[in-house]
Amino acid sequence: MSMTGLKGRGYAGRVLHLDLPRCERRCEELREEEAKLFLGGKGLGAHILYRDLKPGVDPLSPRNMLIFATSPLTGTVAPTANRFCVVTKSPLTGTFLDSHCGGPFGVGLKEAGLDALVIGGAADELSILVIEDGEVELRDAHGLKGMTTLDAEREVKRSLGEDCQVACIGPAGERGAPIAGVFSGMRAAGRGGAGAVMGSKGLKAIAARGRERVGVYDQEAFTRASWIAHRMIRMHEVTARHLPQHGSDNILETINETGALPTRNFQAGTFESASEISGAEWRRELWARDTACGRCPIACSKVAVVKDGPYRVEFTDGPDYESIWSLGALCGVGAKDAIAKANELCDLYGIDTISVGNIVAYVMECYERGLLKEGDVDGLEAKFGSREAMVALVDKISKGAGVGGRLQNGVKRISEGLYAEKGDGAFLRLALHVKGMELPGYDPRAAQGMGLGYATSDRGGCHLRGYTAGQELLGYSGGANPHGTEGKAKLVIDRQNEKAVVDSSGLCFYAFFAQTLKEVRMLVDAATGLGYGSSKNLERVGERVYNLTRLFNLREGFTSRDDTLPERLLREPMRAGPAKGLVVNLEPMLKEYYQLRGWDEAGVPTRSKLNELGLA
Amino acid sequence: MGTGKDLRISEFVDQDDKRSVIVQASQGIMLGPSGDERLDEALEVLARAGVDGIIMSRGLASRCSRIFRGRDSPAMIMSLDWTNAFRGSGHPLPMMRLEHLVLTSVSDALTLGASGVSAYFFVGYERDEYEARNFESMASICRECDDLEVPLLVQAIPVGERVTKENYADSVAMASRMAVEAGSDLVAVPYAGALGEMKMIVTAAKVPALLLDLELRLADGQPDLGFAKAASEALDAGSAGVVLGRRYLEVGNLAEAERLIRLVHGG
Amino acid sequence: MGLGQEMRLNRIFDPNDGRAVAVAADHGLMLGPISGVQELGKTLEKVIEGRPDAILLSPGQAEDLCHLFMGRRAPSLLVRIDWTNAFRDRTYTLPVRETFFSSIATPRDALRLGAHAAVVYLFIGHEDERQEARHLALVSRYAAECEEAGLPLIVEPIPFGPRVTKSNYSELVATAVRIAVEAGANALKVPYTGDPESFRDVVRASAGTPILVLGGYRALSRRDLLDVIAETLGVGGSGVVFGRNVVQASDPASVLRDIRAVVHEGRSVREVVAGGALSKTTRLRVYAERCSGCQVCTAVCSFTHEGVHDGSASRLRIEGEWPGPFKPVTCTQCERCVAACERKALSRSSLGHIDWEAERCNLCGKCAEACPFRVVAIHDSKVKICDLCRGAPECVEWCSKNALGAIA
Repeated sequence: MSMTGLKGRGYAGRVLHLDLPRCERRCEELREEEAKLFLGGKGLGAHILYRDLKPGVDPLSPRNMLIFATSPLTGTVAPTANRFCVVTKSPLTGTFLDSHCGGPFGVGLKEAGLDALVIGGAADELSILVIEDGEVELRDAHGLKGMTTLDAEREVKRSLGEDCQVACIGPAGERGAPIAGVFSGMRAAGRGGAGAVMGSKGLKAIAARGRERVGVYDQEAFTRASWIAHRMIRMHEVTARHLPQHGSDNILETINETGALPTRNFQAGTFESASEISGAEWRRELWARDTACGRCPIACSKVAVVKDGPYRVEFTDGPDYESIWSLGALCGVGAKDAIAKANELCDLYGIDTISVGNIVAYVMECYERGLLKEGDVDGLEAKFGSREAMVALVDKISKGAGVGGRLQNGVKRISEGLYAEKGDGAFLRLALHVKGMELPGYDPRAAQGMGLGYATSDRGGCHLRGYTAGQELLGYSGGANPHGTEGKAKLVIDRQNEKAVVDSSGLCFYAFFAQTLKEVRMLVDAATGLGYGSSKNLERVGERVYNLTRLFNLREGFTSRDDTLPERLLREPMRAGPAKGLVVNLEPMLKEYYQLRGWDEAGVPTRSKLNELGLA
Repeated sequence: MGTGKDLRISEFVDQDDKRSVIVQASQGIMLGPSGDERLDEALEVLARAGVDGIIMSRGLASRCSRIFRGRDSPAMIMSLDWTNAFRGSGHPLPMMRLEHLVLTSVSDALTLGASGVSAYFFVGYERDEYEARNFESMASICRECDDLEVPLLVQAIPVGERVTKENYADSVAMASRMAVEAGSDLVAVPYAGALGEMKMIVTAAKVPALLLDLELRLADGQPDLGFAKAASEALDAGSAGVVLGRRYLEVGNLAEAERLIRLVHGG
Repeated sequence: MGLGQEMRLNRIFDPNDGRAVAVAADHGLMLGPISGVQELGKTLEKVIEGRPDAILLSPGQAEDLCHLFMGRRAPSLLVRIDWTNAFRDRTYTLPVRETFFSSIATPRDALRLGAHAAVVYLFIGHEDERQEARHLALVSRYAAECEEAGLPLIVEPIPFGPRVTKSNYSELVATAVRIAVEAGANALKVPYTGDPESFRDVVRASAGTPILVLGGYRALSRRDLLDVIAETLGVGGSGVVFGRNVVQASDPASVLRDIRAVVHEGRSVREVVAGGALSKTTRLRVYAERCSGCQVCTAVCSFTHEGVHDGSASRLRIEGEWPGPFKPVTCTQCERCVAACERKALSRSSLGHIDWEAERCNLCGKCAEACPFRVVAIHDSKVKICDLCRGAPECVEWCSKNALGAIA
């Protein structure tokens, strides 16, 4: 236990600032006051980005900053304590972006002696950054150019040593596709285009290795808190049964039954072939084994194998619920092998499956409505339900080939481009995104709270920030009426604040099914000695971080007008199912949301709220 | 018998040998203190020795509730009625005219935690009216017991002028059979003579019949025999156990009580 | 509390330690024929071999199965006199859309069945506060009737509803407990709040009314189940009411024997689990097919031994990289390191593991070279070698997939 500074109290105590191409470095000591305010991970990244990034920067220019942040619990024995996140300005949305990953790089970065790595500028040529015990070196990476994420990581480990941990991008990231992610151990920091930023900085990979040990403030208390946290996970139905048995896809049939499974580009909320792509089905046919991210007792991850046929897959991670949904139901496809293949392509070439699925579905709807012809899509018969078309389109987008070169830019840019070319407003209306980020697998017309969550998420259309689906659709924690708007603002705010804490602590969201902020607080206090003392105090950190990312987005020019949803969700009632006749009644929820958040009617945090949070 | 009755009866009738040893501790309400000054001690010894049930009045039950704690302890059987029948010549107020009335309802007994209840049925009164009244009240107790699923133990005792040596055994048989027909679940009968008589009584009873330790001579015809010997005979005749009298609460008699418990349950 | 209530309660709680081990088998009433309660009689025969102090049944089953409760050594009978649809979530047929609760028998009915206590729910946290008021009125009425009847009332206070979040849950359990006590509960059946500190608050809220912790969802490991029980006992709990953890077990009597050992015999969890193998382990066993590669074992190994998380300090390692398969590689006490050591710094201890004596060691590294599994290392001027945590291996305890086992 260290008496000076934060080193040995979960933290490494250091933030390394790096300026490419000359690798000028500056070490910043992480101070206790900062740690207490922002904790780590998302919070630390948001604090640094807001402080150091000038507004109005082009996300793919050298002036953007790319931050890899770990948290005080990363690398400890607390359950799921493996997370790191990539924080930057998103090339997909232009908003704040925090993208999280359970791959081994986080622990590697911590062991290399860093709480965060802040990269500015850009390398002149494709490079690999090597960090060892706090020392940094930029090396040529031409040998890795064009390599898949899997091959790149393996090659780096082969040449530098098996004990180093790697974060890398696939060919899509090298191309600067705004839907490209950062990968580690075949887990993805997928959303928002962090991979493109990394590619724009000329970094194919970052390798970290070190001898730093991750110590904690109070060993006994931390052991006890970790044991209890592990046990809660082992004894909770979701984390001990549903997730290990059927992965995150365990929810698919329920989401379908509640009429919230977006089908064929959100034209419907139920998918007739849902049962063929349920978790039980994947387990029965394609999953070869379970794997876990570091320190995770859940093991929600699977390895899918398609032994033969046109969609043969040697092995691919998952797929998880979102991937199965977006490449499946969203495109009207109920074929597991095709979905597995598409998933494999996305992972190897390094792109976000949610965005890709949405892009394909968008193309399919445009095609079916006659807005796009075969000639526009390289001769493909791009109909809903066509597994051939889905896989072919995913293949093109992954490789940036043919029409894929245009489609890799995300539905917002595609639709705006098509509208500019062809003048038909339908192109814009059929593109479903919030602030440019494509929507995830919950139709908010069947779960009003999710609609508010999408609209107010700090990185655009994301389900993870205000995840009310647990209560609205899955009946967790006593359930909540999915079709009502009453009380949803508070629900969304609570979930957003909690998630911000989880994202700043180094833990995985899934642990949170079994735990509460009480357990997180016990772990954080025992590890860091920062003395939060109560879950309320820890929740404050979450609230602070969420207000900070709001300030960032406001500074970048976003307004309350952008806290909205696509027309289809606001004005097209669901045609069938449990949510028949419903649209998202956003306005009253949003109004209450601003109020309860302490923001003014324009969605701007008030002076008094900022003072309260120490952000003024 | 309904399930509640079955369950409660099993609390004081051993399920392996279907026998029971019950000790009478309700005399206080009828006689005043009667040699049971070290009652708590005596009850402890008897409980440890494995006595199945203890008959108590409601007042005593609240004071002695400790003895009933735990599933291995004796069951509490509440005595419902009062009589002056046992006030013999040695008592400061010897019985002049037989009185018998019900003090506690079955419902109250159940509320107080009883596993079963006990009541007297006397036959041999000079006046038939008394037998009729006693029978009425016993029958009404039977009804309530059935309604509330509480097992009833009737102590069927010939008492009074019309009982003779010749008709003693038959009187016992008649009383116990009448009790059974009214609805009693167990009967306790005094020693009525040699093996043959006891066999007849036990057979006629049709429900478990326990040998009652009747220390006082309540009728001229009442045969006299050491209780231990009588118990042995009765068990051979098919009786289901014994109801020990108040003398077995005296410290000096505890050893014999333990022997009797062993006699009934074996080992 | 009246005499009858006291007497009956004393047939449930053992007078020697004031604790009870009870089994709940009333699920059929709320959920239909879930596994384990379909042929309840057969299941309960197995359960009774484990000598529970009491069994909770619905009135119908209490009547049908009364023969199981006969005799002084038989378990006491607890009868549920209310009903709710609240637990019929999406995993059951006809999942509930609106929560209801109602009375299905009176305390006197329960007494007629020979019950030693009546059991009822008390929910708090309803969206519609009228429901809470109604439920409390119902429970108060039960309490009055129970007192009149001489039957103890066991209340199961449960925070339930959309206003209950994971953050306010513990607090609400304590609140519900206090309300139940003040409404007249003679004993309580309470969910675990997850950790001993928060449960201590719950016990305090009960103001001396005995609390039985309930088992809720089925723990996958015997160790966790017993651990939870031991924790509640440590902060003043009075025992358990476990349902599916016992009724759905393949060997209910074995589960109960272990629970009794912890509750009534004061044994520690480590002594009880796996026949005590976890307190006198001499060897580890690896079930590689269960390993997910999570590395909790290596993290806890280094943390336990060194107080920090340091991958290179772990005494075992995980082989394999994505996509697997993964395999834990451990010391097998093959003693090749012992043989390789020229200074006799390594020896087999009486407990079974390999012991290292620092004073004799010159850190030459021959032991590490000799180890066929590469789980011996020189690090930080120490020889890192598996000591089986002196008989109670942490890696085995922390592995959530049971990929590591302990052999005594």
